[in-house]
Amino acid sequence: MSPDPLPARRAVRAPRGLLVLAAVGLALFVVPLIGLLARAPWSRLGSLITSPVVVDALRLSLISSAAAAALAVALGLPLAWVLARLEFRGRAVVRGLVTLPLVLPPVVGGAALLLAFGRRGLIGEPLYEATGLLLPYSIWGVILANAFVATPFLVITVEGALRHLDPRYEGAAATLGARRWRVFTRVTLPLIAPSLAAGTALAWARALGEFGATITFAGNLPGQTQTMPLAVFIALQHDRDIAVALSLVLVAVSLAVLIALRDRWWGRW
Amino acid sequence: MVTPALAPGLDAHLVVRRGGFTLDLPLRIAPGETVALLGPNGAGKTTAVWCLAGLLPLAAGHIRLGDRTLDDPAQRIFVPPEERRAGVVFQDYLLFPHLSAAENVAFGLLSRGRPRREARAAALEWLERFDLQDLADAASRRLSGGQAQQVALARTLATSPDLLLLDEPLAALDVTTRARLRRSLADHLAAHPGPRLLITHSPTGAFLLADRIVILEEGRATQEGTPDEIRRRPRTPYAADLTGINLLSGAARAGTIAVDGGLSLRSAAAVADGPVLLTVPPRAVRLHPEGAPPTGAINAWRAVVAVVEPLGDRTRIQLAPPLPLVAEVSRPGPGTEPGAAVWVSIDPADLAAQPG
Repeated sequence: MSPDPLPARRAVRAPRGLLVLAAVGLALFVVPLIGLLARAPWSRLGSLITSPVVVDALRLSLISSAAAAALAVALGLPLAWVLARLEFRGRAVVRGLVTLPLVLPPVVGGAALLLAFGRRGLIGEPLYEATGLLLPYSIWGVILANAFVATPFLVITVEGALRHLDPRYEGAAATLGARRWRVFTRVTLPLIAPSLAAGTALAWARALGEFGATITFAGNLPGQTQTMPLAVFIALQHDRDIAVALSLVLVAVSLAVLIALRDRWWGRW
Repeated sequence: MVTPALAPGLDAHLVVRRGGFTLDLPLRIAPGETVALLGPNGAGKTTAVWCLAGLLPLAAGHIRLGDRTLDDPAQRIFVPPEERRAGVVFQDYLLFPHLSAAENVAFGLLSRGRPRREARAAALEWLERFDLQDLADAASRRLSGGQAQQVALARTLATSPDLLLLDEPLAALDVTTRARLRRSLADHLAAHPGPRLLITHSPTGAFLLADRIVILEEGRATQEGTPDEIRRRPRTPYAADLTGINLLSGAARAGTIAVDGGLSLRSAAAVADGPVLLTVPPRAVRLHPEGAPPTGAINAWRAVVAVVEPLGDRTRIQLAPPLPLVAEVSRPGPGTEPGAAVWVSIDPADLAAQPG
């Protein structure tokens, strides 16, 4: 049900102080963007964007952020369901642990990942001895670091949606003979789809911008673990033009995704 | 098609405790019998449906359907809803908003493992029975209240449940739609061979659809009987207020309504020609001693008192056929003892008429 449309002409009288602060708030987001555009090396932009540093970083960023978003869905959706639907002792603790990366400085997260999954790590050492797989300083490490910081966004979004879902729909499906898995896949999931999509988008965006955990856990190897944010940070120190070009590409990709999502997902709310 | 003789009956004793509320309701429904559970909001009606459907486990008691035990905490038996074969039409229908009308109806069949094509065909057939085939692919959230109710009923019936549970199936509808769907519901109830439980807070629905009525007040059954028994002899003040209403059927023509006993009545409200249902609250049935006919009354006739029955702070006076109305007075006046002849009058403003 869509609410009744508001009257076309409404006399909204905004408090002046609110408008001033809103304008300052807008400037906070627009001024840096203008700075970026003003300093852009427009004549060299084409060749800069197609330079190996940029292309490699972009490719790595897109792959690892997409993989991290997929991992966030695969692990975060079940976690959200457990937190929303099961009553068990220590649920508050579990929720706290799952959402910890939201407030933890990413560098700390990266360090913790290194101690757990590093070559000498708690899990990393037996894993390396058994399979020869080394997570740090590889694309797998980038994906793991990205998923670590991104998954909580999906969990809190989806858990909220599950809590707001009328449980009687699932009850109705059960009385019609649907077993638990069918209820979940055919009723629960479609009904929370908009929130799941939004949570996935948030997780992906967080993964795309990830810096601290990635550089701590996966290092900064061009072509292997150097994602866009890392490349920007490095470039700023020796070639400002490349840094600006990288930043513009990142802004363009983020904007394109936001605009694409606005119509398909956000608009449905 | 299951023959009525083979359909299982319901034998249940529902005991649930929730905070300070306790539902303690023995309930038996024969195959092919419709029982209405009638009670005010908060009496535990929906809780009873949830227990029977398996969405809420019993604290004590039992639910048996034929020779299957569905819930029995003492024996540690609990059959989950998907294995109970108890079909529910929920209060606000709960059609799956992301599915079309036909997909809603097919949902139960697919859940029970019927192939997609077969389930779709069966769903279309069910929609056709409700004359809704044109809406098969309509998004369920676009359906009107009446259409949604029928799709919900089709969705439940399509799974051929052993036990049919209807939670306020008519409450959310407007008056005209309600009358039409009540008749449709009566037909579909009659076609269902198993036990049927109808939850309602509206006495009219219960009177017209049920073979037997159970009055539920604060989690307990306070009275049980046929609609006539309940209407004529309510045993609690609540039942009297809720169900002790006079219900007449008649035919309207040019503003007058012909009812049983050769009487013509007038309602203050406009009535369309055709079958009508009249409801008259017992307090609106005025009795006058035989020697003092009401002056200037439109709806007035002579009758004989059959039963005089005190009930709490009031007295219910039942009139003899052909028009066995019940009048309710605070204190019976002179000349209203059983066998006495009286004048009866009803103000047209107190005569509510709806399409029958």
